[in-house]
Amino acid sequence: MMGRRLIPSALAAAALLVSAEAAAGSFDGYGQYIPDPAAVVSLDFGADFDPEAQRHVPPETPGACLTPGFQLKEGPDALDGTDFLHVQTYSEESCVERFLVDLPAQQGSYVARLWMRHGSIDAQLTVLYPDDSGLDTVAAKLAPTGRMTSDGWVELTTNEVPIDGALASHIYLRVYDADSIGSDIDALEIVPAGVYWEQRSCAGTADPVCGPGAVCRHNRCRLGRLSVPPLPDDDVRDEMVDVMQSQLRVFFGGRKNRLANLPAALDKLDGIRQAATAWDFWNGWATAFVLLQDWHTEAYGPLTSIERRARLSACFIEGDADASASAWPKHPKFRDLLVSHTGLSGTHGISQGDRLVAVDGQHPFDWALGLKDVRWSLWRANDDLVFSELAEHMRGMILDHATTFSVLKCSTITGTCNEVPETYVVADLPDDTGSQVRCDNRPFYHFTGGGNPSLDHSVGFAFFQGRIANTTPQEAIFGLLWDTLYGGGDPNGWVNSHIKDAYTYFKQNARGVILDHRAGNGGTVDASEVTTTLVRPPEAVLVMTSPNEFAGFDGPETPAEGIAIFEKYQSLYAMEVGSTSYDPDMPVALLLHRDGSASDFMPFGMKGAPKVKIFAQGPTAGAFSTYYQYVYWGGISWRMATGDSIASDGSPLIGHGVAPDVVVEQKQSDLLAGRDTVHEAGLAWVRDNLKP
Amino acid sequence: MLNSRRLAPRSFGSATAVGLALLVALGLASAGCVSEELKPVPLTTTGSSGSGGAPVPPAYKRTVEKRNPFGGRVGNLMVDGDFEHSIIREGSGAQIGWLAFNGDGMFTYLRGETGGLCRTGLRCAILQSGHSFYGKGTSAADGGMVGEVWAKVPAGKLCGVVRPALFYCNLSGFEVSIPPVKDEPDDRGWCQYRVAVTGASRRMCMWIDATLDPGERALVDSVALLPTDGTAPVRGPAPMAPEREARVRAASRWVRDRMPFGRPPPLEPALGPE
Repeated sequence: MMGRRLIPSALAAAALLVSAEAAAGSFDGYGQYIPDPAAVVSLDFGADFDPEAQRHVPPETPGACLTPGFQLKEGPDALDGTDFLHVQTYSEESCVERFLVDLPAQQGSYVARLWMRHGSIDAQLTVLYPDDSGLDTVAAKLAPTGRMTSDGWVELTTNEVPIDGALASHIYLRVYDADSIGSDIDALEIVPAGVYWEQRSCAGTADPVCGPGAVCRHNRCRLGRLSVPPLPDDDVRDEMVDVMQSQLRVFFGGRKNRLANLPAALDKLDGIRQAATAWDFWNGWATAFVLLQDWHTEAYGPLTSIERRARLSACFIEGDADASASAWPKHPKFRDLLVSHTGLSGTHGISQGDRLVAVDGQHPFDWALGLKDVRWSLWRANDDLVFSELAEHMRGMILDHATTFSVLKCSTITGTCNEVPETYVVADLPDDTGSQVRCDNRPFYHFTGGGNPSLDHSVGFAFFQGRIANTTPQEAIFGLLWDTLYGGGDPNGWVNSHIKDAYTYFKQNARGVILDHRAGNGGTVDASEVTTTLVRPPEAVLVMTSPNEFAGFDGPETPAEGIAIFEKYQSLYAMEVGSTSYDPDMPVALLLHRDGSASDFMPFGMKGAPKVKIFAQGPTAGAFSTYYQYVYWGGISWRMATGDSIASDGSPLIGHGVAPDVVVEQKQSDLLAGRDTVHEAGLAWVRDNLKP
Repeated sequence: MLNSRRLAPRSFGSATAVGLALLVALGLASAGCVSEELKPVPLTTTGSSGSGGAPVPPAYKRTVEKRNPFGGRVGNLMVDGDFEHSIIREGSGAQIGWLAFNGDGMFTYLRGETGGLCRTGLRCAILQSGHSFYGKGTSAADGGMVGEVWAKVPAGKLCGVVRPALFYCNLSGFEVSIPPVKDEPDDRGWCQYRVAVTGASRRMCMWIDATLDPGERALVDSVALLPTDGTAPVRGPAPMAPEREARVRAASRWVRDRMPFGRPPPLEPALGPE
């Protein structure tokens, strides 16, 4: 490695390892940059920068990224000196550039700063350690302080980053050019700041070993500040919080969420005005989004995408643990959690039909709801009575946050369960990043022949169709299994054409249909409408006042007001269900489990059709809106629901999922016997109502 | 090889006043940003003897200030009036506040400029020749609003080359154009556009296009839609020109057809820690 400039005097200062206040570089009266004299690395991309030596290319780099994605440039408008770097990477392959730096061969704490201009970049300081060091890779995002220059330069900074310079194998600035047209960077400085923080293991989120400002994720303490922008200075912080609150007040909605959840989120944002640390500020901001309790609404940051350490290739669904009722009592509020299905490996001996009775000693949902302050991606239904999203994400949350989880093991041979649960210590699960079975809320598949999804339960954007197993050709009961409703406005596109083609076939060949949409991921309304064309005549069933039509609108207060809204927008935003060519004699069983957004709209449009029955354990998510997306610097982005939908009877629909016509809970005894309770119920009804 | 940085010796004089005057001249003492207190100016003198000459400022000068990096104005009815949250990874189809369409009416990447090249915040949008912006917003409860846009037009061009307009997002074929307050840009090259509307009964969006020559570009920033304050001229809706209406209609249809009712992946690239 070469070309990294160390300032001897600063090195000496760093050697003292004192907690230092990081002072940024300054400017003279003409705006000429004056580097920070305390910097231990100061890179102005001038003569001392050796691109050959300082460019780091990991061995696994894709071929498309081997060509340097940067150019050295010279000009009077360089921020520091006369040189700067123009970074222009190949975004199709997510190519990044890495520039090595040297730091003192000792433990220290530093802040990295960089100036950029034009376009958009993602910048990060990365520290790699050898596998035998016992230390994890450290990645710290750079985000703006608010300092900027009249000629376009913007100052980015990390928060304090602990680095063991003696053990690190590579320390580099990583730059990703987000727009392919390139950005300029200059004046990279790394300055001692703060005190070294020892990496450590932890048992789970409840383990206090991580200390303030750190959270336990996947059994390692994670310094929150490495994954968030800096704490806004006092002179702009209130203004920032005011705008954050304003965005929610103006755009967030639906009625239920505005009335029930928005006040708590606004209070949370008020609280971060007094935040003492960057982590307190930004984690508080993200927690406000959790408090909105909305299926679409979520904040993202680098901490939301940490790679898991272990695996748990098993999926959980709610149900009725009738086979283990005597061993473990039901919760007064929540359903039981059952193992829907497992992968072929990585199951730790957990099997289909087992029962998850506790996580960290609590009912799994009680435990999960306690993660509001630490899990930005806590996925909730808008409907307060729906927890299917928590169940589907349960195994991920366990690996991420739990110390222990307890499973009542059962036997598929005897159909009985142990009296005492087996408790797993998450930290004791072996390191294993192998694949996990997908959780689609379907314990079994039911098509004849080879028409079923693969054993990894990967449905995604695929469609599966065929005759239902264990039925006779004369019964002619067919099914369609799919999770996406992303029609994208194309009536002949992948999704809409699949649904239409299936319906054409059903009309010609079927006497009964089972639609299995138990992991309804939503999409666009056109596909929801197309799905209803088999079962009912045309009708406008709701209007989508989403995004919101008026700022801060809390929704209709009375049915009469709601009906007026419906009538006002019926010609503009109606969901038009049905078709004149529907089949009035075709019995259709719609199977649901965890469904939201367009997968709320679709069952709303199906419900009440003359020969449709919805079979599910409970309502859909009640996420009757679209959303807006926003992106910030440093890997931060968020999504916020906006608007509502108003039914023809004037009801605002957000927060009120579509209730099943037939409530069917998956029974544990059925799982152990190889039976899919919900499917069986649907099939029985179709058989009783076959098309003549 | 570790190179020690050679910090050039800098002489210091008493030219702070020069820096302050520069700031004032550039109009940076306005509200919404904080000018940075600058170090004394290093002086270079004329004359071969190195003494007795007049100070010579460097050929290149810049000013420094601090702005709210989150951008925005409280109460703004535009989803992202300051363009701080819409400059995303190229290729991301997203439900962001601003969308860009090229000359063929195709959805394209929204390119951004940074820092003090923008009027407010840290980011602003580059409007390329032939391109158009579709901005998402909502309406005030009583329907009375002031729409405001700032654009930095190419040198030598009048403000009228950029043409912002308000319209109902669902498109009724009518628009309220937002005229420039003055024909010529201010001394920094920026043009302000303002209009008041009354009685809006639906969600408002904004369309911005321009009559730029090929290769030219304008910057757009500080877009706001706020409750009316009586300071802007009121304009009524007028029919869109057919060519513009066709483009707006196509864009509106694109937006409507892809309006998501589902859960997409996050906008930021999943690059991993290394």
